Amino acid sequence: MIVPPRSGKVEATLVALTVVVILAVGGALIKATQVDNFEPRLFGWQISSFYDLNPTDQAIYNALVTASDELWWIWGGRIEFPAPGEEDEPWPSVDSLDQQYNLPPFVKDVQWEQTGRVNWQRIQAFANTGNQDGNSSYFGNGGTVPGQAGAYLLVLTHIHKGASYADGAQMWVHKDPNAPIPKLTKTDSLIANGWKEIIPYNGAVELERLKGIK
Amino acid sequence: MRSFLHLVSALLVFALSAHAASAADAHKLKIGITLHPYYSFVANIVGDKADVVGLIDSHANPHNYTPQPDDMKRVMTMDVLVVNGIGHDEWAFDIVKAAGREKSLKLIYANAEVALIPIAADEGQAKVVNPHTFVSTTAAIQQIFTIAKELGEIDKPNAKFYRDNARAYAQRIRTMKTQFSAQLADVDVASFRCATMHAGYGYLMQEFGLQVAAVIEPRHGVEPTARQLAETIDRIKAANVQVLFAEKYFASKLADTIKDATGVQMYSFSHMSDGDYSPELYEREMRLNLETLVQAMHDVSKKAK
Repeated sequence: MIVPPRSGKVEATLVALTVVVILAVGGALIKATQVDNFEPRLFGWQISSFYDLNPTDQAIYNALVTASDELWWIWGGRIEFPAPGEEDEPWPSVDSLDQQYNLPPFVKDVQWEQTGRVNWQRIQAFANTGNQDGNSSYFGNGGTVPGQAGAYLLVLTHIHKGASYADGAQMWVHKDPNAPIPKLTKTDSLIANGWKEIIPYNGAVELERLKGIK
Repeated sequence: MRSFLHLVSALLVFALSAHAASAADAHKLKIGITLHPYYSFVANIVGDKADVVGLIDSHANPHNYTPQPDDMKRVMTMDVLVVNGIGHDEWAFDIVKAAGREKSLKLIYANAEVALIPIAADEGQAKVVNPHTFVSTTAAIQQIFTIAKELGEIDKPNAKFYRDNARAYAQRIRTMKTQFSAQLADVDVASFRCATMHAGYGYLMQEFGLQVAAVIEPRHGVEPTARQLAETIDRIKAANVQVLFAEKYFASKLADTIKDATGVQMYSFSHMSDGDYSPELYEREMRLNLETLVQAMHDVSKKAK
């Protein structure tokens, strides 16, 4: 009878195979579950609110996003039940947004001081006519914080959705704090004059990234 | 005869109005929420037109929460569930799935329209979304508006009521912030430097035009490694940080260690995720946070003079 010498060959091979299997399965699982550093695809005239704005610009942008909802509701209320003097002025003045509504970024508080004391003005207010086409716009410039874009534009416009309207808002920034008031607030004109459209990175985008929910 | 007719008419009117009231009650929406501030938001929007219930027990810690059998029972009775959805209540999705209500329960994503910001002080690393949008004023108002709009789509007869309540609530929050902001008129806000134990306060700081120089915990409740702590202490010293905001209701020896190593002054913020659910909780806790922030800035200012 031949007794083979004691050897760890078989065990060593099995251990090596097990390690290879573990690494392969682990690698495949990591690949399948990892989330890439997601950055939205943008056109040359667009920037991301999350990736491209600095903290000062983000503070102003975030305030403008919420202000746009409130502005549409103020407008709707004034159209429906105008107080004396509001019939011809459904879009509130910047003074009213500051004093009456305390609405950032228009209210002159600590945030306004700390984010560059931007000079805001209402530059367009579409008429209360039947078709309700056109833009209403609020423009701010003169931001004084180093590194901030410095000039901002909020454009409120009705978006046609089939036979109905939806309230829409676009925000734009200009790298020149002394950018002049835009003569036109149509997209092509703003792009031609150096304005960049801010594309929101909001909870809806994050949900789509994390869970594929649209 | 005439008085008999009056009596019959009165009884008829009473019976009809009682029926209408009970029919309205029968159709009252039952709205679930995942986090304490959402209870306050929804309760202030819907008033008595809907019932608001917590998905989990109000005294449970929503950080790293493990779903319980009672959560499944609660979710079975809900018509709508309001969620943070961007990382602060992932357990809610497990509960909804476990209860088999993925398709039958309407979810309102409170943050759908909130412009998100990265967790502060992680320069040089990949930007990570800060999910603590409810510890804020403007981002909180955006969520209130989104919830009101979504509820108005579900319950159209009450849409205007919800929107008007949302606007009145938002105005109260803005007025509160403006009042505290006015108390900082004689403070040198530009030279104020702070760090926070937890990443939950980035939105609040943003709304005062402040930036957080360092965040101590890499994740909530997770203590940094010795190396991370040493680097953070170096960052606090280099940035000339004067104040460290820890968390009310969560004592931490780590905060004392940092205080001893750097000489920063300590204050505590509320994370708004503790205590009974109530309509007043958000405003009460936010008022405390604003008082704390203003006090800290005044103290630093006095010390500098």
